[in-house]
Amino acid sequence: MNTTTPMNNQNGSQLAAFFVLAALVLFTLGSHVLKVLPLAGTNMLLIKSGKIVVDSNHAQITHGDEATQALNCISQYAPFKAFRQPIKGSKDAWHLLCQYPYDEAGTNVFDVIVEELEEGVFRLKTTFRPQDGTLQAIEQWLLRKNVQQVSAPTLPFPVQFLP
Amino acid sequence: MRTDGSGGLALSTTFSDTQLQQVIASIQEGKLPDQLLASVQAMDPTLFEGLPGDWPDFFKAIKFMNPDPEGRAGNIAYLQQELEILGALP
Repeated sequence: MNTTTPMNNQNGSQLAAFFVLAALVLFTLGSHVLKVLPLAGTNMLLIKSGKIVVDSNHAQITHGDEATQALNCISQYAPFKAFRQPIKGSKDAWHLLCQYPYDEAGTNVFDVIVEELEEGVFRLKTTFRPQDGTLQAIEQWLLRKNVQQVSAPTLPFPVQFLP
Repeated sequence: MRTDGSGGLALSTTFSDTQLQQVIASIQEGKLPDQLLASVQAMDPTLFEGLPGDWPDFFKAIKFMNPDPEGRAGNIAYLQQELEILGALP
């Protein structure tokens, strides 16, 4: 026996239309939120602290400059913010923000950019004081890279120079 | 921002607009030879400060890059993505 009635068909069509509309609204809102607010919330993704390996030639080239300051900072203090940046065709880049010396205004912020080789071992990609060194400007700079904020590791990253 | 009078950027007398374009072109081709990397790493980073927008940080990323050859491919991929965001050097 066919139990379908014109009323059921009408309700079914309205329901389907509602779900299509809801999906469109959610998709649009979702895209917007992802583009506009990637820094607003801290994702639960976590990278643990570990050593950072650096080619020993790096020390010779950058001795005494802001890269050296950044590596000194990250080896003594845990990063206070961390971000994941997916890289097409390569491993994710992790931005570890370290501040030294500390001040309330949020200046003297360094970005230590690494990739994870294995659990607990990271290779330095590059490190410097971006923008004007303020957290606000650096977060805006990171926003333009479509990064995702993650929980910051709670321990410093010892730096090991490889021969 | 200083210009060389022809509309291009003049960073210094030893590292010209043409050389900057050469670095960018090489990265876009997926290459960053030791010699080219060393030439950027030997520069005074204050020379990048006259560049517009986020370009100073692009060249600082190269200036302070870990030269480890094993990480070069990943670093080039990172820089290529940066170039996509930055567009063309004015």
